[in-house]
Amino acid sequence: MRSEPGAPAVAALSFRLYVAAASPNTRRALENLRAVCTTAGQTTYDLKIIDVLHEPQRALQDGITVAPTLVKVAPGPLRTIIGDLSDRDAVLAALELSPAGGRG
Amino acid sequence: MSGRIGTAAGKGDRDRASIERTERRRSRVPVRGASAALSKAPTAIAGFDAVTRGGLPRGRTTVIFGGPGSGKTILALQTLVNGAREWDESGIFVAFEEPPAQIMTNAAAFGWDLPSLQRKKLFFLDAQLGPQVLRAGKFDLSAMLAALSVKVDQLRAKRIVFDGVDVLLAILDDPAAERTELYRIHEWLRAHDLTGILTAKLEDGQRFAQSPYGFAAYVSDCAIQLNRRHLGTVSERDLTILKYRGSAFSENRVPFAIGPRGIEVAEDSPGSADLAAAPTERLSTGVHRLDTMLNGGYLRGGSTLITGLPGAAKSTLCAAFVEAACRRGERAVYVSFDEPPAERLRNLISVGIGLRRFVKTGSLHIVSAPPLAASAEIQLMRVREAIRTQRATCVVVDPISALADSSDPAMARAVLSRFIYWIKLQGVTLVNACLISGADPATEATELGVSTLCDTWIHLSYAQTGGERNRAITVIKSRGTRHSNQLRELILSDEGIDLADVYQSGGEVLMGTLRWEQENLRRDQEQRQREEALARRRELERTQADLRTRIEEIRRELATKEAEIEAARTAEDARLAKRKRTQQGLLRQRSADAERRTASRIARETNGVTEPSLTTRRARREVS
Repeated sequence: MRSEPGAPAVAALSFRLYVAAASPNTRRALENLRAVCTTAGQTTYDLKIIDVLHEPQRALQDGITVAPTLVKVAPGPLRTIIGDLSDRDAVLAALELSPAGGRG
Repeated sequence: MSGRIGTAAGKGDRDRASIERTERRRSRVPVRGASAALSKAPTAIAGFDAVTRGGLPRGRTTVIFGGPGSGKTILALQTLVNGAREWDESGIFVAFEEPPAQIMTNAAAFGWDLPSLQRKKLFFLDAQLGPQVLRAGKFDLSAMLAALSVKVDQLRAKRIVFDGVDVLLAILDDPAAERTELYRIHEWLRAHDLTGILTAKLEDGQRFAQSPYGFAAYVSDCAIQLNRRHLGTVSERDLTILKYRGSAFSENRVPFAIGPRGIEVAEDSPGSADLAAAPTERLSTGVHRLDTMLNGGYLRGGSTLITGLPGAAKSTLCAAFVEAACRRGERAVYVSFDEPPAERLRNLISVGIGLRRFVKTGSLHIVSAPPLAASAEIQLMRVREAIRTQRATCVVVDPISALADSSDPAMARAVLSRFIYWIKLQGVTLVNACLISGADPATEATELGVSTLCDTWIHLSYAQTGGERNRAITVIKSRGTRHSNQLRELILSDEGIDLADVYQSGGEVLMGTLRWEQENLRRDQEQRQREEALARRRELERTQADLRTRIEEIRRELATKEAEIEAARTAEDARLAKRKRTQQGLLRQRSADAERRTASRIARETNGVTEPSLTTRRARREVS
């Protein structure tokens, strides 16, 4: 993570989303994440999608038991949210993103 | 499949049928024929395989319900551990509720050597969704199952446990989703041909059918409920098999215990009894006269109940039996619930029973168990263990009523009847003491139910008469034995036990001082009678001697008279002969013609002489 003097103190937003193939839950989770980020004014973020059915070993390593599971990797601390993220307010709060834009 | 559907009863059969058909279509497992016998995965948990007639359904789902601390996790984990150790079947443990490290720590005491198993045969998956995890919307378990599939292939796992499914369902918080996910697990198990165990918490008094996991029991092939109760300070556990598709099982509430090596389940049907081999050998009770009362003693392989009030010499009678057994060279176990062994041995010495030497040589093993220390099941589990390791042929449980105090009566009765049956199957001869508090032995011993289980029932009581309490013994029943019906006095001395002679008076058996008095009275009476008889005999003998003397005198007198008579007759004969000669001489000299007339006169005179001699003969006959 870069942190240069004078630069805005906003770390890059980074997520991992564990999904089980292209299921309805997967689709909804992606939609909801996008919407939440938009609401929070986060237009750029890093999202890595992991299909646990293709990479079960990875799920095992990362201790993922349910899908979808969203992990906010950065900025720390690590946060884990399970489900299709349909409760957007809760997701916003959990990611410590305020609807006004920027981190709360 | 169709066979099972046909036998299924109740509503929802059609649903189940369609569900099962769907499963089959999706399943990767080859479809088993309807006639194929259900394959079972033995658990090697003592007693559990007997209750389930062979173990859990192989390749299917079993649900274990129970309250907090009821032993769900231990039962599930033990099934995995035993599978790995006994049959080399690898297992996976998915922990929803507790961290795996904590589960392993808890199980460390059982000596299962989890760390070494964990390297190759056991895999723990931490599937906790901790409090820091936020739930926001719908989700499913496909990720976990995909991950587990990898592990199953790696380990070639055959058994899997999902521990604390209730925690998972609570997070899902949606009945439809709960069903879907349980079904997903169930289906996944079948697809991988895994023997699966799901555990779920059940609150107190909750029945599985009404619980949120009713569906889990419904889709599963086997459902088991674990219960735990407290009776005073004693914890008591039992399990019930709620259902087992396609298999016979015990429908009873089966007690179990968590022992030093894990769960041990009471064997509810400990094999089939060889009833033909009922021995007829008699074993000494250690009291010679009691042996006589019982037609030789206790039956080998039989069970005897000795009831009595406190201090009625129950323990002494038990110990006498053990001593006799050890003297014959048999191996014995003495279970002492009331007294510590050292005290027990010391107290027995005072009545002439020395067991210490048999303890030293190892032919006697004393099991000490303070009452109320554990449930009846655990106590008897220890007793059974002791009997096995001691290879005992004679066993005393003193008193067996202590077990009833530490369990609820119905449970104690069940435990006892199984124990007595088990003992019988081992061919072990059992003597139980049973403390009763009231006067009526019948109601109390029957309450505990042992009286009907035992072959012989001896009751020790106090007979209170003449200001004394004396110990009395009576044989209430003895199957297959011609036994005495008499109430006998039991005498305890420093030489041991003996039964006193029977003294009856006015239809009552006399004891203690009364018996002693009666004994003296009898002795006096007899003495007097003996003396009287002697006097009478002497009197008679005197009379007899008198008479004999008199008879002798008369004989002598008679003989004299006879001699005189004989002499008289001889003299008379001589005189007549002389006279006849003289007359014939005269006639010849005178040449008289009247010869004929003279001859007839002589004849007449001769007859006249013979008449007195006839009279004499008659008189002689009368004298003799």
